[in-house]
Amino acid sequence: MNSLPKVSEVRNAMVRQSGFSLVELLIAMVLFMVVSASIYGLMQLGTYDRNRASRRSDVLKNARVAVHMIGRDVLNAGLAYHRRGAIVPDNFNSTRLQVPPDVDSQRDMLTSVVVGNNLFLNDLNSVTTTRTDSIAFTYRDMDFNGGNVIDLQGVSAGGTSSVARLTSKTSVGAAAARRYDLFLIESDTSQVLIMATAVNGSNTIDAASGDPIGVNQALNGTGINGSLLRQCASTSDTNCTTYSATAKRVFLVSYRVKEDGTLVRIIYGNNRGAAASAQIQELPLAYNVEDLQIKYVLEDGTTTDNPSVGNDGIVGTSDDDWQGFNAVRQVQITIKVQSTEIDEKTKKPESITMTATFSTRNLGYDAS
Amino acid sequence: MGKIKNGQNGFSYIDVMIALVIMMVGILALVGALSANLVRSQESERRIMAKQLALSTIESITSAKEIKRAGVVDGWDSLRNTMEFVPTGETNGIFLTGINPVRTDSGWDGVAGTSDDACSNSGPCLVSGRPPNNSPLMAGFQREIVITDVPDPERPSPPNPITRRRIDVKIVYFVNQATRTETVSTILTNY
Repeated sequence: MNSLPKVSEVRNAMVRQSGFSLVELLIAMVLFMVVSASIYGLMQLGTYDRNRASRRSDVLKNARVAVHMIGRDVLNAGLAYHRRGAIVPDNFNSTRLQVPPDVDSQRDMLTSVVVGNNLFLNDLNSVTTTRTDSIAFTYRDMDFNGGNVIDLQGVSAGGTSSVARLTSKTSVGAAAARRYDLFLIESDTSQVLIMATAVNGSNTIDAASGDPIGVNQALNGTGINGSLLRQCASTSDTNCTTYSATAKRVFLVSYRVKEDGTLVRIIYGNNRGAAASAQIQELPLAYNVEDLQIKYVLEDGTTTDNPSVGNDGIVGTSDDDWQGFNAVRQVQITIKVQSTEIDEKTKKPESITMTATFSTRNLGYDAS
Repeated sequence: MGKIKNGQNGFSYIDVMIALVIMMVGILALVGALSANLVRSQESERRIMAKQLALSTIESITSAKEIKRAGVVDGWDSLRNTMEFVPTGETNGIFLTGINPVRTDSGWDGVAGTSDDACSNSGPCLVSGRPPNNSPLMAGFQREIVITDVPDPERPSPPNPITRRRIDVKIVYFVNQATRTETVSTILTNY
């Protein structure tokens, strides 16, 4: 039986066959697991970091967009507008811009900047009593009518006696005007904000009460409830306008944070071709805004949260003065924005605070 | 039965160690990439913040042009760096020279970069006659405001007053021990 190897030969061959032993295999597996676990940990860390970075850049982008939109309007505010502001019906500012109502029953003044301090509660803010600020701006549409004002020669009753119908000096003077445009009507005696409710032909603009933003008053009303567009009957007549007058198209926008944290830019009027119900447009700018606080530096160098409060520092008292808004020279905006997703580690949303300062360009140059 | 192969070796420890080393090189590169990525994203965030800070400072200086408060800000005349010796007939500037810390609140005067918000100590800014500025420092940001008169060849100064000034705002910020700067410049005029 020479063909078969001896048992000892077989054993020798097996001993020389040096593959992994069980121990070696175990060591290798343990090593492999340690290494792959650490790689996994690293990858996960990388994922977290990447997610956090993308969340933060998202939030930062939101905050920047919001701040720059507001900032652009700060620069525009008061551009070719009336230096004191337009006259609007009593409580127009509190109804439309949600600022606290003034105590008097006189007409309100719509200034270039209208400040609302601590007005709106916010669902996202952990301090549930925090209220966010609002701010509104008015400025002229410089492109309207080739940059020219519309010269007006007078007012008459349009159709019914309550409708103020303004007539332009030339037969095509009002050709550029459209329904629901906002106009500032300036004359020697007054400056009035109106909304065009109809444009007839190319030379008349109607301002009927009951317009979508509630700025027009009835031509046949009395006292402060009558339209300021009414032609003055004599030099001692009040609540009236002397003609000739001019009309400028103006923009009125405001910013506020809704309770769900949406920062909206609200545009009043000027939505051409759209229905009456679409004349107050709320355009979302940023989501998850948990705080918006705005501070103002006035021309006399004081810093305040609310420029119109007067000496007592309390809003809604008799010494409040809309003219305080015209003294704003610097606007400091602090916005706090949250991320939509929560952090994997802290289980909380990421939140970024951004502060931006803007200087008003058009409030200081108009010699008073 | 065939011949049993001789020298049928598995991986030796040396092989395994070499493999591990190669793997480690790969992993280290990965770690490097991950941390570099993290630093980059941090850097871009800080850069945006620095840029915003520089722009806000410019705006704050611009607004000072129209602010007048006796002994604090005097409009255009105050738009200069502070001087040790003020020439007769001129007003000292309000913007501190050198690289200074940044505080979140621009102080009682409402203008950034002045003695009540850019003082070099790390505590509150104390200026006599003004409430202390206790607002926190913006960690990792420093600011330098340099204001230079721009001569007008048609109206040389003197005798004419300076009507143009160049404003350079440099923000120094730190990303993982590395120093970066962000500079914004503008020219302001008094006409």
